[in-house]
Amino acid sequence: MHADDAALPTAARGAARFGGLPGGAETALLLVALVLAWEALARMVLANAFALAAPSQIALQLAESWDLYARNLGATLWTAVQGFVIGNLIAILAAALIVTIPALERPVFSAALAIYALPIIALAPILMVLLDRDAAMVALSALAVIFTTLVAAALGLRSADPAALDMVHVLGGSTWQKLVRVRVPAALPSLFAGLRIAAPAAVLGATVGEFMGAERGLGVLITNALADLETTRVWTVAALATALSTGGYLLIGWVGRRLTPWAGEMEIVQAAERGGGARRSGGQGQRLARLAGTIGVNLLVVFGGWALFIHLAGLNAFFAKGPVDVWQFLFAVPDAASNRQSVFGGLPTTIGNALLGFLAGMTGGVLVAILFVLRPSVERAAMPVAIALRSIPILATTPLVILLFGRTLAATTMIVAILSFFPTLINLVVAMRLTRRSITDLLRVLNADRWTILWRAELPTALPALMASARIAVPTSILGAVIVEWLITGVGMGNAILSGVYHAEYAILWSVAVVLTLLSMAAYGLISLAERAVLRRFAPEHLQ
Amino acid sequence: MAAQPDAGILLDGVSKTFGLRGASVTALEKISFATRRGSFTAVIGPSGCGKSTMLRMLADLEAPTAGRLFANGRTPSDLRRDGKLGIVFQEPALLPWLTVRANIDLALRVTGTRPDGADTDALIDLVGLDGFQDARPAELSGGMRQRVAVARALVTAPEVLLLDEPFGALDELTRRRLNHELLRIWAAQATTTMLVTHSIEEAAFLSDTVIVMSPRPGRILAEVEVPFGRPRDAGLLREAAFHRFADTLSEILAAGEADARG
Repeated sequence: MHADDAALPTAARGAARFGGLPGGAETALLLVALVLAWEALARMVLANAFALAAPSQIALQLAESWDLYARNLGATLWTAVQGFVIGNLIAILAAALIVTIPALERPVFSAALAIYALPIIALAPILMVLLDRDAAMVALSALAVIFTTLVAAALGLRSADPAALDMVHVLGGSTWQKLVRVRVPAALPSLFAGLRIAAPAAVLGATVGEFMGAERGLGVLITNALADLETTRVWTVAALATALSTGGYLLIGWVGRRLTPWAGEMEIVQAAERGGGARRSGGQGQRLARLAGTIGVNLLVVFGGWALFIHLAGLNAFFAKGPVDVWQFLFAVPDAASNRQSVFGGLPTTIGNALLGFLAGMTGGVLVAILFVLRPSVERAAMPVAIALRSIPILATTPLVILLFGRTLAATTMIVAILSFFPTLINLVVAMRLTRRSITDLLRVLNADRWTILWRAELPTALPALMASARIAVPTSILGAVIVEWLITGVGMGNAILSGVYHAEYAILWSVAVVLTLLSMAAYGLISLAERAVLRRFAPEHLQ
Repeated sequence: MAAQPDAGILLDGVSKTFGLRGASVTALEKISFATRRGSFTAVIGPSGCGKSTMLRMLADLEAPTAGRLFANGRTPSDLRRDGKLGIVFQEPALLPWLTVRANIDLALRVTGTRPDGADTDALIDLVGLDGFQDARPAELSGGMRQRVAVARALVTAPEVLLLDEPFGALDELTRRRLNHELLRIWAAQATTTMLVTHSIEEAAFLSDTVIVMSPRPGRILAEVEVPFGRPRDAGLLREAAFHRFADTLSEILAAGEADARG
């Protein structure tokens, strides 16, 4: 209708902006500058600090010991690929299930959320003894991808255009044809947005398993290198892990774009933004009742699923502790008070570490997103770099930040912050771009300055995306904090895991896993509530 | 030319070319015309003829590739800097998180005026939204949202009012009703106005002059004075003279399309 003259510049701009793989001249220049600065910093300023290896040293190291690195890289890659395939298959099947049988949505979603909230670092030592070691690592990797893919796939399967379905129906098409010709193609953009995020997550899951003790893999290599203070090796492994993680992310993204050339960048945001359960409006009484129902279902799924797992698997009672065992361990046995101290003593520290990192990451993401939107030239150069760094693995950031900043609170905060910084940045930039052109045009005609447009239109438009990013970032921040505590600082819940493993006290490990899962789910739930309040005000069309 | 006291909208050899995927597309070619200050001008033409681009250049949202534009003797960018432009798009462009009143006041705040509750209320009343001051856009119908957009364009008392198919997305009945109201409001303010539309009837009913454009690249086929006096009311739509005039405009449009096809 309004495919009028005004559409011309929009289309032209759109083609330039949403154009494919990172690879602009500005980005290339920025990358060269970054590498040169890194080299100079390593060679000159920090030459004797044993903190930073220069890119040239990393290249040399790789050339010298290529067999060693290739063997370990291959091991991690193989674990991650298996976990990626298995986890995503489960997630896609689960998504198909809840789309077909809506009654299953709540319990299945709760289970997936519980898996997302479950800190795999606490689960790793348990799985290691319950399963074959390699199988455990694959399982951890698979668990790490389920939630995001489920959300993205379910969103995609529901996004088919009803008019297109009607058209196939009127033409005499079967259910199968509707599925193949309309539903599946419509689901692909969102699904690939999810799969793309799943690639680095699978690497994360695989390396967490390796941290816990494996024969080979990048996680093993970096733990040893860090213990020996082999700076160059630490940086080399970190570079390889980043290449693996980012490579997977870019590869899946590339495949997705080839398969769905019609899809816009919007899908990235949608997969994160609109996923996360039903958003219904309604009176306050209804909302409270629904909230109580959600909490009930979540608790039932967590504890019921846990008991069922122990019961069905018929596992060794020394390693496998059910809800009753853990209850007795914490509240009934003579040592219960000291057991509670072992489990809950570190909780405030972990909450503090996670919260500081979360807040720092979100704040940084918002500030840099504003910079990108105000300075399009910065965005053009740096956005592809940010998209690549979105998948920088904690395996890489942890040792690097520790080498540079020591075992300090600032270092912990930074490692946790990086986990939420890049996703928040990217989601916000994309969401701010979705501000309706007519609104920014209107403000420009009214002589609004750049800040006014940002403040009055772009930031409020991106607020739902900010809330969604926060919701998704909370469990990640808690996981990141515990990984750092476990691997580096030896405090908080990370320390509880260490002591559980050391004393072979499996009830501690199960307790920690449950406490952290419930904590993550509660925080996720709280942000969801705030998010709904924001949506009611700022994006009522997203409420059903 | 900028010194003439009765100068309205003036285009002087305006051309606009876009680059699209490497190719260059000429949207407008050497457009020149002049209108009187305080007059109502309609631009009609087929899709893609560059009429919206012309309006966007007058709004200082696009720059011409060649030529100059003036409104009330000043450049679009001067007018914009002084907050003297008002615009209504085809879509209402309301901020969903603001109430009706806050959406209208937004135009005042952005142009640096402290909103005066009474003025805004009077405008809300004028566009027929009394009682909906505190509603949010999601609670309004399409027609009501567009009324808010009209009120927002008028609240700053603009010197130049630009209307880009303002009622194009609405149903025919709502559209006619809003056109009558627009005419009534406009008659009270006598603002220099340019309307871009697909609708021949709308152009003939509202304006003093109709500019008929050719398919892309857009050129002026005819500049037609509308022979009806003011005030106009709904009765005009039923008069034979009105239909004859509309037919004349249709014929010019059709001849232009036939020429373009070769």
